[in-house]
Amino acid sequence: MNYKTKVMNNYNLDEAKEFDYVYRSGRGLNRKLVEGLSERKNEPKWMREFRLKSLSFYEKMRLPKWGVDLSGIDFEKIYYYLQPVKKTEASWEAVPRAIKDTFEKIGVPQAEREILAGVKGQFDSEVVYSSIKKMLSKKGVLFLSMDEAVVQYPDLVKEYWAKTVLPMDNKLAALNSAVWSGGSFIYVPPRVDVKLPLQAYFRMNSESAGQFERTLIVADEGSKLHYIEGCSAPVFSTASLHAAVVEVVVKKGAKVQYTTVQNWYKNVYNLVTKRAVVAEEGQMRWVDGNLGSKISMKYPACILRGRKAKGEMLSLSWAGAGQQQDTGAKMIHVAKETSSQIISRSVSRDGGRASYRGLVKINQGAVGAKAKVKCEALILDDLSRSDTYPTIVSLEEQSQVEHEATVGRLGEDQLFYLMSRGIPLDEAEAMIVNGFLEPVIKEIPLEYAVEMNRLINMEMEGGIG
Amino acid sequence: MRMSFVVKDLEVKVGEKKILKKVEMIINRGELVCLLGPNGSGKSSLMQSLMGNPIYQVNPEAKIKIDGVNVSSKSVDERVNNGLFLVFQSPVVIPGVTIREVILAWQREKKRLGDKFLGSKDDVWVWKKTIEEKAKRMGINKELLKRGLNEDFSGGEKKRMELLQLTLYEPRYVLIDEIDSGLDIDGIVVAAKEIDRLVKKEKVGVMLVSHSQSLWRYLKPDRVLVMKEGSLVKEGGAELINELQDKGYEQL
Repeated sequence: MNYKTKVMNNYNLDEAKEFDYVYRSGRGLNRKLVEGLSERKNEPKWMREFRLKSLSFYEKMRLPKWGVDLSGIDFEKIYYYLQPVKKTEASWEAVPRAIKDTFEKIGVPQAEREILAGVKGQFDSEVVYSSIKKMLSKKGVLFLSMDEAVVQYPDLVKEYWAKTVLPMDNKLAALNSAVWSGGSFIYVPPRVDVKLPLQAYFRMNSESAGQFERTLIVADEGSKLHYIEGCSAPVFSTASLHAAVVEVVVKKGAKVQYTTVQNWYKNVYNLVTKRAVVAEEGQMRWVDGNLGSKISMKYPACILRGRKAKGEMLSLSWAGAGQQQDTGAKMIHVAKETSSQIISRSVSRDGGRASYRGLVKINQGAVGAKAKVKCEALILDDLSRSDTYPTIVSLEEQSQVEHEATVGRLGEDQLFYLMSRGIPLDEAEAMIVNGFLEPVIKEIPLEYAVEMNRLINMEMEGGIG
Repeated sequence: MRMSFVVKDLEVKVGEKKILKKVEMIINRGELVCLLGPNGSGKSSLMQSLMGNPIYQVNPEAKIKIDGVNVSSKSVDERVNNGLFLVFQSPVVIPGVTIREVILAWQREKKRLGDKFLGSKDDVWVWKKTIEEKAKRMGINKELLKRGLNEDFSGGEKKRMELLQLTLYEPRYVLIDEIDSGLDIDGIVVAAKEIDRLVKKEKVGVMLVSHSQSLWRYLKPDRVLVMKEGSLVKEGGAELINELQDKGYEQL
């Protein structure tokens, strides 16, 4: 059964396109849909039961009442499962033309695919293209779509599945647990250093298409991994929902960096649950750039469970017209001598609203724990807004928490100064904004950093002010 | 056409308050003009207004001419590209924006305007080298060039950075607002040497505000202008500096 859906896209990337869907569920969510979805994916019984149990949590739970207004999401109108092509394509040649075009237009050039260790593209709810270099399999690294992993490595997946983010964690995590589709599964064996960053590049492509990817990363003892997730989505006429769950298991002495460049179109609700559990001397670093979406709620967490575990969050948020970025981090210090750092920078403009919302919790017994929070906000005009909601709970006397927050406006004196160096007004503004964001941007891999700067400059040019 | 910087009928207000009244002045190429006056007399306001700081409202009849081109209604960056440069008394901090990025942004603008610009990749490296060489001459530590402009700079380092930019921009007319404050004696010597070179060798017209005697020990102005309560009230030769030093501004 084929469905044709017309997608309008005016983000100067491409024109109206048509896509074929092998399968599309009806709108709305029910038990039958979940069962059917699980069956189509040939899932083991435990996964089907997990989905159904999660669905019952979802039905009972309420949306968060704090922070942001989510009343614009009509859960009844969402397609919970889309399958654009029959199965994951083994080679690039086999990927349909329309999808290749899309990849080209969102800028995944051939060269990049060759350079990077593995490119996984998610088209709607299914991974349609995946390439894993020999290097990865030689080292015993597993990098595949979550759907494949459940079928091919059921025991390994089951061991870690939903142990970090439980389905009842929040309503959207429960929703994801019930209808998840796509996402990545990565396993890095002990002491293996995956030198090249692994990337997932995915894109939503259908009106009211819900995206519920599920990513699970397990970094075994002493291993090292950098995972990059970047996305762009076309403009839709009705609001779309993106509710992903990311779980990261950082074992003893392992180091993981998870970089996200989020550029969803400005009608997307981006409500993501990301959490890492970090064992002794392990290190977890979230780098999170939020440029797109209508509303984002995202607070990546590190649970520092082992002695000397380290958690870090570098967050960059851009809130333009009609956008609300409610972002931050959670650092939970459970063990002794754990340390964490949160650095957040936000820019709001043309009526956009950027909020930092964070939690640092130091449990009793986490002797010698150290936490540092530094959030800075830049407001570019009188229409825009920035708020800070830092929560610090310290139950251990022998610990240290530093917190620093500043909100500033784009300085007239800074503009005059740069203009007095021969730089026109609009460029001077963009330079000041880029300079402000630089501490986070410099932590993002070069090709994404360049893209980020380009997007920011585009936003600056497109602004009303 | 006369090669000079000419100001005529300049009146400046901030809000409702008139702070400069009927200012008329001239700076010729290759001339060093000293601007003196008591605190709050309007010296900095004059320099900021001439550069085009939007907080100063300039009367529409005013003429600010650079080698015959009236720039009084032109934007700040356009004035720079007409050959004017301002050395700030208190330069602001611009986090994350390095001097090299500033220079390259200015070069891009010049290219857009059709000015001669090599624009090749090599050029980026040529600029890097030029900046480093000149920085060395100004006694600026190479490490400072990697930071955002004036980010965690000492007072003296800020002033040396202003001097460095002054030499990189190669203007025809320069307004220098208290370059000496915050500079140590070595810094003052470097500043005096650079200003002297610009005036005598590059034939730049310079107007310089300075309260300190130390700078005038190394530099000899061609003319001295005295400002009081927003007006230029007196003009004379270099000897006026000593005269004012002895008698103060009260006599005027």
